[in-house]
Amino acid sequence: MTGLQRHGWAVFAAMSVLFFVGVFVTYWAEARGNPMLAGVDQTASATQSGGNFEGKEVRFGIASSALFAVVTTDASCGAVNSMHDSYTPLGGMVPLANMMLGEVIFGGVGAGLYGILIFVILSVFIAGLMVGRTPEYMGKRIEAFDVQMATLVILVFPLVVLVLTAISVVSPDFGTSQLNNQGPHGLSEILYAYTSGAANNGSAFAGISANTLWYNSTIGMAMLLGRFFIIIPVLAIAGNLARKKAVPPSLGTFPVTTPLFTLLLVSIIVIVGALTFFPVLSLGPIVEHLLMNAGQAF
Amino acid sequence: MADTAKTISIWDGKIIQRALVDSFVKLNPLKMMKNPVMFVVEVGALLTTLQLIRGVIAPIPGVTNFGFELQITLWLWFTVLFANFAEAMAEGRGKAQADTLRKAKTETTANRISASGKTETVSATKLRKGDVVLVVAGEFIPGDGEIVEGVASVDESAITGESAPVIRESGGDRSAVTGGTKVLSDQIKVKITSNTGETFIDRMIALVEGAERQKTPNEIALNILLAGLTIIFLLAVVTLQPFAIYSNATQTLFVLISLLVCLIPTTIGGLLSAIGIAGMDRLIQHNVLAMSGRAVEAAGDVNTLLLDKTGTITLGNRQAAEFIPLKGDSNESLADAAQLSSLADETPEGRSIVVLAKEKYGLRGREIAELSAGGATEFIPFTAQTRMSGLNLDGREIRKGAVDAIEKYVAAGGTQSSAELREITERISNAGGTPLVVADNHKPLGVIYLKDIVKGGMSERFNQLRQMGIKTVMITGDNPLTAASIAREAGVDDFLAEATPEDKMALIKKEQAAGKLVAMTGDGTNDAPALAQADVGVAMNTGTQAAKEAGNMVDLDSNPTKLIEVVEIGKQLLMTRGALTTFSIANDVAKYFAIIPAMFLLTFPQLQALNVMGLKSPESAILSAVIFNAFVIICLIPLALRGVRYRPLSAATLLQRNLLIYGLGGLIVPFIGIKIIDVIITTLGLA
Repeated sequence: MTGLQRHGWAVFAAMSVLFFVGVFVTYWAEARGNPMLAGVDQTASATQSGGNFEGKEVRFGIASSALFAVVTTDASCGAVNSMHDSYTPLGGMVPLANMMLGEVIFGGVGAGLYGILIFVILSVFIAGLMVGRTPEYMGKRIEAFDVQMATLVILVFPLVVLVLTAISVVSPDFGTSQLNNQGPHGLSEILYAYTSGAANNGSAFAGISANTLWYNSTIGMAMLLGRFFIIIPVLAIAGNLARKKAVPPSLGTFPVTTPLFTLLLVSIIVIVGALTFFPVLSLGPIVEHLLMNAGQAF
Repeated sequence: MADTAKTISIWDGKIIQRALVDSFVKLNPLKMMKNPVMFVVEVGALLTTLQLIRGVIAPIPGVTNFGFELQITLWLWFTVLFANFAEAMAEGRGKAQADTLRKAKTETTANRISASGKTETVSATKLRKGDVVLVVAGEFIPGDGEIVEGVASVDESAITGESAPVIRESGGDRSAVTGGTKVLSDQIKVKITSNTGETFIDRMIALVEGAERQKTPNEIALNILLAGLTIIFLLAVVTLQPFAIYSNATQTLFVLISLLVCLIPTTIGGLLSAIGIAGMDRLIQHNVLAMSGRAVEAAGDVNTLLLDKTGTITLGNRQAAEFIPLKGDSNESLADAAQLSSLADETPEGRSIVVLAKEKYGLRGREIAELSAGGATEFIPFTAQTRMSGLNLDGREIRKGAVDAIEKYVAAGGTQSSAELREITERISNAGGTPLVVADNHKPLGVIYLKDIVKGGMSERFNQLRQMGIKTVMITGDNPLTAASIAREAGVDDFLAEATPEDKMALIKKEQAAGKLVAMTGDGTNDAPALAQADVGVAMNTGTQAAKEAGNMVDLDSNPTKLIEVVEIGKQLLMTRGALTTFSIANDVAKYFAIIPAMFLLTFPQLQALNVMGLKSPESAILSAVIFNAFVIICLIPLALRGVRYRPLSAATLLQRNLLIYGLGGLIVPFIGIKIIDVIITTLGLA
């Protein structure tokens, strides 16, 4: 439609990089097994597939389960073929992080693309100034209004996920009382529930009895805001860009078709996502992983 | 003014002194609110101060750590002050220039000519629009105006910094005068065109002081992004406390605010307005006044540059390059006649003919007086009717002029001009030159080839512009053939020949309709509509008042080539902003690795694995991150004021370079910086 097929490939490449990194980390974490089960044979052999097999089906095995977990959270699918709750901490963090980035890696059917386009606009704006011009995307100038709307989009996620999770974890009556696990793993469970809701993924980490007034209503709210509220600013950007006059590309135009752009896009997605969720992840899966290595489970 | 501006170094003692005071004045929350990022830091510093006082009055055993808390609080205040200092430094340079300008605005008196024709002496501040004043040699012109009568040489150094006086005369494009400049000779009657307080000098003072500074479009957009990021980090930090409580690792206010201040983009937030002010300042150092910051930014975005041929691309005058004799005539006799005909010709073209005759044929310049001694010499000056000039010498009639004029002259003598003459002149025209035919006693001798001389280095400049994706269009009144030839020689991308002001306007509108931004220079009243239509219109200071008002920049040196520098300054401004934004955001990664493990190390000792920098203790880690955060603002002030180094490269290459320096550099530098600070403060025993 834009006639810029090479830009499409650049964006696709960025998605693929993030996808393969996710698959690799999950597979590595799961195949490595649980260090706390020392003495138990967890190595792959003719008789067993090895690794952390808790909560996985024999017919899928480690590799397919890891692949499925990453795909279902990248593509806004929500179906699961294994229990994410039973993954190793890092293995379970990947699906969580995929959703936290707004399911921009490939994205779901229909509304999947705009998530990454928002990050493209942010990348173009942040780095675009560095070439000494008002940033342009597809020949359209990215100006205050577009930046405002794009910022609003990336704001919704932390607002919904962090605030609701924060309220839940300090409320013993209706929040933590529904948990089956304590400590960092319990935090991951609540966090996953809201992230999955806001990202409209629908997959469950489980380990939490979410069928209560509090969780039903707040996760419902997360779904409403996370999915539908975002559409408003995205449409506003689309309308605003459509109205603008297109500037013909020249040598001075910010290049969006190069491998460098792919790298930039990946960095912006990871940094913006990481900067937002790193604190909570470090108290959830990351510390859990370190504790597991030290011999403590939750 | 310009001379003083150029010599002000970044670290001028007086400016630093004033900036130090200003950084405290700027703590006023009402002023800070305009900068959301730094406002959050100020509020944070205020909260820690209150908490610090509470801790002194009623210390909480096991929690209160006065030494650490005091240092955090102090460094938070320093962060705010450093940002204010950056802004004050940028403004300081402008203020110093404004002071110099104010001196030029000393109280003057004016000789107002009343309606009845009487002259009365009034204070310059009493002058109103429409008043007519008489200014004689040695007096200051009391206000901006237009000369209605007379010619004078005027010293405009107060405005332009150029010490050579300029000629101002009534009528035409040189009639505008500026208040505060001095008449050196003769006397003029000036009609005042602006009221007190609205004169050019007043506007200049306001501009260089930054009093009228409004945020530019890109700055507004960037501010929104920074405010958005600040809100995100605010959410991340505010919600971290419940997570910490859940994890049995409740944090103190000091630690949380430290984390927040380190994460929000303080580097770019603190330097953003300084970058904007410094951009305007750089223009002023190039003796260009921008009426708005928007224009400076637009200059960076320009796609098409309209450049006048004469004075910009070529030297103002044509020069004789060759003598081409007709068959049967010698080079020497043609050169001799050409020289004779030009002896009294004081135009640059005429002089270049004499020079060429001397250089090529060794013909010494003959003294006019020597020739006149015989009494039979008569010089014929150029007139619009004959369109020829020359001389009568001992019965010889030597004439030079355009082909048509000489053909008529030759025909009047009864001879027919040859087809060969036509051929030569056409060849010269096609090559972009101007032919001048020389005739002796109604007989054509040959042709002088006058050539437009392209300024040195222009073709490289245009090449650079092309690499930056900017198209150059040469505007000329010449015919298309001449224009095409010069365009080829100068290396411009396109040309507009036989251009009228209307054509120029149409070209600008056409380019703009295609979504392009156009920049041009102009000085005449007939340029005014095009100057107003162009996205960047640079008016020459020697131009008319109308042109100056229509454009959005004024070049005090009246040097049309400067348009190229203006574009570069605009680009540099945007690049500096982008580079520091990228740097600022990339910095956060290292700060997370410093602070997060430090916060929860007591509860989860295993988090030591995240302490990749190996920082000594939780306190030293947090303190180091806060100190680094504050120091980086100070360290980057010179970069913000000077701007990122600009090289004319394609966007792809620029991006690669800058991403490497400011993106990757922004990731790595803080890891090293925080580690060094940690080593220093633990050695000093501060934490």
